[in-house]
Amino acid sequence: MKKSLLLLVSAALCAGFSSCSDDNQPAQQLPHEISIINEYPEGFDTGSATALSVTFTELNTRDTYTLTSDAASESLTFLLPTGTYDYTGIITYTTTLSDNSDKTLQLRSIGSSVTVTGPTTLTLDWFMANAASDLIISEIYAAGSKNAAGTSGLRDAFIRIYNNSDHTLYADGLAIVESDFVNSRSNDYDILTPANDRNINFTVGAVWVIPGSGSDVAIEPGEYITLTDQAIDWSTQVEGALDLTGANFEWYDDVAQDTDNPSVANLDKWFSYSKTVWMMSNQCNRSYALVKFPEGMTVDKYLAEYKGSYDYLHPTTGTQMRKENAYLIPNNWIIDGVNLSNKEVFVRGALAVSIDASYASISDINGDKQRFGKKFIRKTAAVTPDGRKILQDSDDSAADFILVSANN
Amino acid sequence: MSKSASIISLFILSTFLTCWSVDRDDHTVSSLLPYLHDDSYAKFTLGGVISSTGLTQSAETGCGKNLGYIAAESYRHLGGSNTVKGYAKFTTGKIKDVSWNNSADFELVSPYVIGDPVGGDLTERGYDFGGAYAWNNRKWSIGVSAGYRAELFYRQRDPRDKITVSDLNVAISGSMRPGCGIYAVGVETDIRVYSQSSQIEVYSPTVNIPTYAMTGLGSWYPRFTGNSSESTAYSGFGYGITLSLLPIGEPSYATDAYIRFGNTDMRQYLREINNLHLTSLHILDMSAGISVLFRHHSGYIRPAGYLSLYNKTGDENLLGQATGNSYPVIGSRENYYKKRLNVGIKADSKTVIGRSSVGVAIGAEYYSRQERLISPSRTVNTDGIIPRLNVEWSYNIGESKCLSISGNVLHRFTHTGDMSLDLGTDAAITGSLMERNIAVIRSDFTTFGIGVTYSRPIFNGLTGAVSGRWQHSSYDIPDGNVNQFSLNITFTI
Repeated sequence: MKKSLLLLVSAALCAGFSSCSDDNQPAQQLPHEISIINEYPEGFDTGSATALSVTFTELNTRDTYTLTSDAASESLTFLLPTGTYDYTGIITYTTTLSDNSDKTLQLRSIGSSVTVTGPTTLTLDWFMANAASDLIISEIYAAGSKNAAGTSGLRDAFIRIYNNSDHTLYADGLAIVESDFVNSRSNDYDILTPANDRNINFTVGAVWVIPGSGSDVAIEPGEYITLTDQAIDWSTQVEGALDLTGANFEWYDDVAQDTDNPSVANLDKWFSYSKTVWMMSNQCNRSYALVKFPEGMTVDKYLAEYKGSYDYLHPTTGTQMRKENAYLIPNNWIIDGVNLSNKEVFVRGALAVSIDASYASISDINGDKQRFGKKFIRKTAAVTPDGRKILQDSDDSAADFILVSANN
Repeated sequence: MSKSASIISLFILSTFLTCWSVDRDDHTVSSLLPYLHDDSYAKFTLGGVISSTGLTQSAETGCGKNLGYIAAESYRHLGGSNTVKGYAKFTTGKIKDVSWNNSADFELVSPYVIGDPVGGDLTERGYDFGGAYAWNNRKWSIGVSAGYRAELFYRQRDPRDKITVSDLNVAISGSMRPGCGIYAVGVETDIRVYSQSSQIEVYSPTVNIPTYAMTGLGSWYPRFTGNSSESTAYSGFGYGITLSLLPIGEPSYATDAYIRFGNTDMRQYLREINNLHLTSLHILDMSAGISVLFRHHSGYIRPAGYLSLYNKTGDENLLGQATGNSYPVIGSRENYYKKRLNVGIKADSKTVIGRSSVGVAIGAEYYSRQERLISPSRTVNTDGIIPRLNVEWSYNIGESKCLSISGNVLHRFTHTGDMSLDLGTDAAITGSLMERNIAVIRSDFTTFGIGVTYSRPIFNGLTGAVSGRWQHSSYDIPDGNVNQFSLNITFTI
């Protein structure tokens, strides 16, 4: 009996300790070859690419795998274990602008729920993007809705600022500015003051700042805020006009001609060329930019140090003239900018070509009354798996914006 | 049986109940049922336990409980060659402040539970019943047993859990007495069929309570977070084999021993996603114990040793792109394991001096615990030693009335081994959960308690007993005090 007991206990101990050894490694998922075919935007020069990166995120495990290359090509191969993947890709490339300067831009590609259980062919559709502009101007409604007489636009104009990133961003402290220069033939000045060179500074006639301490106006990914002239229900005045009572901010000039909706916060007016009310150009022939001031900038400091008076030659008389009522925005403060005009009279954008290589056109002809009720909106470049739109931002407004009814 | 022998038996029984010795009733196979007790008995118990455990338990198991129960048990030699045993128990009460776990039997189904950070008290209703039958002759015996547990847990405020458990165990065994001697050795095979269903509902439209399909050590399935996985289910099948050695009668020298191997496979399903098979668990357990009883004229001394090993591995299924409400399973990965070793030695003795009896039990246990997640890589290893001391004094007041007072003390000396818990982005979600759970695992603690039992004959062979016990533990962590009070009223015939 003692021998039986010893055998019994020995068997238990041996079996037990052998099962306790650290041999319990996970079954490895065999990697599979992924053949990647790249489809680039028309005209993209693969030779201009300086870096390529595609990150695959496995949806079940959150494991990530990154493919990197220092050049773009038509096809690539990569290894991935079994799984279901979302992916995001970035290609950095260099392009030469019309002023012969070089600019670094990006292509992006995103995709979702790619199932890999064996060798897989994956086509990546690349689109133009600008990673620097996480907050962008997504919509501009400058023309306004047609007034009751059909002669001009109402003041239901607005600008929308959109969070094009995948993380929460804050808009307070940012400024919406309007160019002092007009982008049309009639204002084809020769600017004589070097500081007002558009490749150095953006010369502006209005500066409106979103109030807050830097963390008060959050914009979630895929969301936007609306800045408007008068946050009222215009549709009660003219059928088809907009109800802007839900706007986030309004620019209010505190003069008798303006109307304030007290339930909508007002932007801080740092500067306006207008002695009465400031309105967006309903001719749609100026430029607009979203600006982030450097740390510590105040209205007093800005007005004291960035006066933008300039001398110019009048295009018809040839007379040297001076414009006092303008300020400067250094180009490196600008996080997004859009030139507006129409095709008939456009001469150049007030923004540097590195900020906007072209312009968004309201019409083929100047003074077109059909422009009323139309707004510029950015194209949607892609939609993330969770439904968030990524808007196109290639710093080329002609390519990035389309014209739609303001009621859309 | 003489009166003095009866008193000694009562003393020995009380020591059995309080001194964590090898528990014959738990480990003896059903075919050894005829040899388990000399006398038939029936027992009815009314009891309850109230505990407050602060932050000394994992968040998934709550902060204490208030439970009451009624239990009945009967063991009968039917004469000739037949022995039966039956039991039934009803439990009701509340488990306090359970969070990050919307399932029952957490030790069994963890880490693959649906968890929410809000949680709350869970009301419990439990029904547990079963029985065994054995036939024997002088040399051979056979036995069958079955047990069934049904439990319901629910919460009547958001998040509203409704959990049902069904747990069936069936065993068949055979035994022999070599040479018709003082020992019987038996072997038993058993199977287990387990199922659990857990639903979470949130009634308030203004309450947003996220749920996570947990995968261990603060990780979860990102695809099944939110409100899409509110109903989960478990289906398990297990089998085991037990060898048991039992002395027959009351020899002066007797050895009890057992060894058991068990295997359980458990699958987790998401009911609302077309019964999606999400994870699997494979559990291997082995336990063994041996005690040697030396009787002397006034009592006994019994050295013992025990060992248990537990190995759990977890597989996460990899799922492809959903088509409607169906996800194809495209692969799986073994990504989790948990191992536990407990080995201990102990000795207990009982000495009858006049009308008194003194019991002393000392022991020490070494334990080792390893838990690991492969990806993301997280590891928690701890081990430690737990020395214990139990003492009991019993006094025969006269007329078979007996008063027993017992006390116990133990301390856990914990050593932290490899620890790698970089939660990364998970920290914002499960950081506080892991901080609490790891603190519990790593903490030293001291436990002491005192119990009092009074028993007396009532009439015609019916004995009544009242016992109360208070237990206190102190952990080296904030809110680390445990207080538990239990009360039992037992009638035995």
